[in-house]
Amino acid sequence: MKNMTCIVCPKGCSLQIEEKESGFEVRGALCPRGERYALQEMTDPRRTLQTTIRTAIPGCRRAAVRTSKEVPLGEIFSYMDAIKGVILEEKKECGSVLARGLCGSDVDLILTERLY
Amino acid sequence: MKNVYDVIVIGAGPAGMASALTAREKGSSVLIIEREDRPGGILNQCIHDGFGLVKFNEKLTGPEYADRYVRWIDEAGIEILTSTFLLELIKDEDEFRMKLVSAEKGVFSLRGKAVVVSTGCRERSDRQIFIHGDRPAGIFTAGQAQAFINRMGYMPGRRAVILGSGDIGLIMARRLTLEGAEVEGVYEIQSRPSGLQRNISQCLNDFSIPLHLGRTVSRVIGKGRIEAVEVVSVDERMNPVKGTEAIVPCDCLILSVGLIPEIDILKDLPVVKDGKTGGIVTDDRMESPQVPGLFSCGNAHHVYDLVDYVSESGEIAGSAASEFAREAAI
Ligand SMILES: Cc1cc2nc3c(=O)[nH]c(=O)nc-3n(C[C@H](O)[C@H](O)[C@H](O)COP(=O)(O)OP(=O)(O)OC[C@H]3O[C@@H](n4cnc5c(N)ncnc54)[C@H](O)[C@@H]3O)c2cc1C
Ligand code: SF4
Repeated sequence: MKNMTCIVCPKGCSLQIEEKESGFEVRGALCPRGERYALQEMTDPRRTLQTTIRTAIPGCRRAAVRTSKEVPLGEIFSYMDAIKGVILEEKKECGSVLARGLCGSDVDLILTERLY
Repeated sequence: MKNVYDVIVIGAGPAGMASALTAREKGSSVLIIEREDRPGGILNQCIHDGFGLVKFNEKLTGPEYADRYVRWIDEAGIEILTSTFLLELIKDEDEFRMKLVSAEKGVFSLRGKAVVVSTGCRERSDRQIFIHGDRPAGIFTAGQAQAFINRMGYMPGRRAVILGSGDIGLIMARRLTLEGAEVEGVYEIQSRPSGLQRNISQCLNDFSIPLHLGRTVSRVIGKGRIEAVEVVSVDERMNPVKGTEAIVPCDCLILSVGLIPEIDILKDLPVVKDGKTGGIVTDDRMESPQVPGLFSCGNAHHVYDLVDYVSESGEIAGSAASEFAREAAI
């Protein structure tokens, strides 16, 4: 049996996962998202990633970004390295795609702030 | 810009923006005052996600949550005076009078029928938690560290000790780690963490950052720059236990030891302070019983865990302020 905290919403349910012949059995989830999270976590844990990048815009030192999808937890530092190479050259709308296919995956980099 | 408004909102964080939108929807003339150069408040530096799960059923980052409200404010045509600081707020018969200052206008005054105070909160600092020893450089509050890294691109250090297990401290433990710093551990004097369990999981456990419960920083060591801290375990009565001391080398100490509503600006009004929350006493419409027409919401009222409830408190205050202004006009 494995215990974990569901991180999908602030309730933070404590989940118990047991491996049965029929597959994993999840207990403790207040909603179906918790069960989905636990199954994903047992087979291929993934996380959203947010950080900042450099910009060439005067008066704006960093711009906030996130990945368009969750990335494998074990590869988070490779994604950080890939994102470090991206520089925002000019003002864009919040939500714009700044880079495609990070680390050879189908994950894009999204601008998450309004630039003034 | 006019000289008199139905509702004047102090602070353009999520609380202030929500209250301004609601007051405008109800037909009031509204002005927002903001000391920073842009609206959004603390959300602008909270680049992590987890905002809006309750209100929008979406996992937004802080700046995305702010952007959504700024867009609505634009669409509603609500004026925001940025880079403007409120210096003084008094009530003169049926009107509030305020003295403000900005680089553009110098010192100027405005009048409002109702005022919403949504000035947010500030962090407790090392002066307020009585750590002994030296006072070298390298001690930051978690929010300061967050602003340095996320807004300015400066690292507060390479080897961090975090004191206090509040959510901001946990989030900064992960942020520092992602940026290549080593986080030696999080020390919490209580026997339970104060942050959300999901943040213990995704910010500490994911990166194998140790959480030391019932243990605190007892001394800061370093001349000029912090070199180490002494940590110690405490008993049930919070007294240090002899023999449990250890010296932990570090080049920065990050404090996540609590937030206090920021309400200094109310010092000239006969409001009553709530000893428990640090905010002012209000009724369930967020109005001060002692100062009719004065409303408070968001972290200035009491410190909220979730921005979704901050916005909700703003809506309640904005709606009530609008009603107050309408009645005052008759
Ligand atoms: C670091 C951190 C992490 C958080 N993480 C999460 C999270 O993951 N999920 C979540 O849901 N919630 C989170 N929260 C909580 C939530 O984001 C905040 O509670 C919320 O943003 C507070 O909104 P507010 O409008 O009350 O205050 P603020 O956002 O602080 O806004 C107050 C505004 O008032 C202005 N102001 C103050 N005094 C004056 C003055 N005299 N004159 C003019 N302007 C003034 C300030 O400049 C500021 O813009 C977090 C909070 C912090 C601090
Ligand atoms: S199981 Fe559902 S309710 Fe519980 S933390 Fe996960 S998402 Fe939230």
